[in-house]
Amino acid sequence: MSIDFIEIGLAALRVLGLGLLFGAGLPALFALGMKLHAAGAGVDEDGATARRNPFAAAGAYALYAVVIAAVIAGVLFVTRQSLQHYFGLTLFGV
Amino acid sequence: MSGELLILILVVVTAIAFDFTNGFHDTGNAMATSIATGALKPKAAVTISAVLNLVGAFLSVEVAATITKDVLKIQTDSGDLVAGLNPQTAMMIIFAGLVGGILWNLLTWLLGLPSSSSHALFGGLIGAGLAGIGFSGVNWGGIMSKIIVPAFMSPVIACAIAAIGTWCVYRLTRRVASKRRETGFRWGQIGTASLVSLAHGTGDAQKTMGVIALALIAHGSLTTAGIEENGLPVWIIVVCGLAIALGTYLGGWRIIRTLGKGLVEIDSPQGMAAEASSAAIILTSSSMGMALSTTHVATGSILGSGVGRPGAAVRWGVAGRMASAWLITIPAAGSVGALCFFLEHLIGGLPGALVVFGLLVAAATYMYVHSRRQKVDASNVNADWDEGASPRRSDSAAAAN
Repeated sequence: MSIDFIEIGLAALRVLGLGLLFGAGLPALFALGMKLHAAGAGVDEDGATARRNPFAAAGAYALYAVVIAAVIAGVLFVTRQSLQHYFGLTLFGV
Repeated sequence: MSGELLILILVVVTAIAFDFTNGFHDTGNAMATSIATGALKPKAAVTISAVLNLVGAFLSVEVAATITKDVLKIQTDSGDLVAGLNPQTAMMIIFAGLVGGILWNLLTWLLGLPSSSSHALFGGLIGAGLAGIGFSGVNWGGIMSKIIVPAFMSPVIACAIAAIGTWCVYRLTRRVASKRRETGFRWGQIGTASLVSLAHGTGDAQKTMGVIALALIAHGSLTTAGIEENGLPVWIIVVCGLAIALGTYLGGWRIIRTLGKGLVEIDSPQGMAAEASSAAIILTSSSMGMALSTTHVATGSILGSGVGRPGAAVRWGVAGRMASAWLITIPAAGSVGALCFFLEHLIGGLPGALVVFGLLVAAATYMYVHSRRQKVDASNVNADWDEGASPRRSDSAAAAN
């Protein structure tokens, strides 16, 4: 029985790297979007209203869109085999 | 009806039963955090998860016909039985392995301990394989690199990613009004939990489909060439999808409770970060052809979300109990698998299979009846965690029983 530790180590690093990017990065983007959204609506931490900031609001929506796009990409990724099988769509290098 | 056909039917029924236990065992991985924070009502959560698992099962067109190759040497690369292996022995190994997996799943469910259904199945198969064909029939290298090493690494990686994600999330939303934050992250939770359910459906129903396919191949009523050409028989896909979805819907409330309330008191930002971490890891590893245990990843992520939040308390005692259960999963399921094989082999043929099946039903019934004494269901899944005490059920639920 020979265990290729190097290959296992590389695989682990890959999972860690991509996992951090999407698993921690996306919630962070979502949180940033939330922060901008709150600033954009002019609501501070005590719930009091202040001046609205349209740029912040726009930034928030952009970030939310990125997160939703990432989730959709995730769904497409999960279903890529079926997409190819039923619709002939080749995504993510099936 | 020949004895062989009856044995095949028993094996298929048992495989479906395993798929069912797989369903309720893993509901919590996707939905425990959403249920715990109230992002989804318990019944809504299990319904969504069940539907997505069903969809996922149907979407998995990739055939896992060589499922045993990671742990046993009973299949060739194309999925056929290896030369020299008696088909009856193969059938007995599959059956005994399934029984081992089911019983371990039921026991851990009874104890409210999340544990890997994949490991339970593989453990059962390994034990039965050892009993049936001995040391050389087991793929030790594969077990080490595809099962054991990932089992240690994936919870750690999951914990790290979720911890970092949680920390970032809390830091970034420090100044956001808490009600806004709560609502916003609850939406995030629904999204990420749904993604985990879908990923689970595509991955886990496959295992049982592969086992059923193998049983059919051993019986001779299916050929690998047939699978190549026409794909898996549709009834296998339908039945496995329905079984895992039904199990998911019935919901392993005991396990959901442990994951959602027993490890960490979870808030919605933590919940979202945990499920996002799980989803990312599961999808990344499956893209690389590695099948990780969703339970290990989800539990690691939930622990990480507790570690990452400033001031959150983690019940390391509960985590420790879980880790112990994980460590003995393969040996335990393996022992049951081996015992079942010896029993089948001793009695022989159809009577042997019937006896083992009878024991399975008896043990399962016993555990189910035992579980009713300290019932956990949708009404008390979110009750406060009290070490050692059973959760109080709501009055209406108690009156109904």
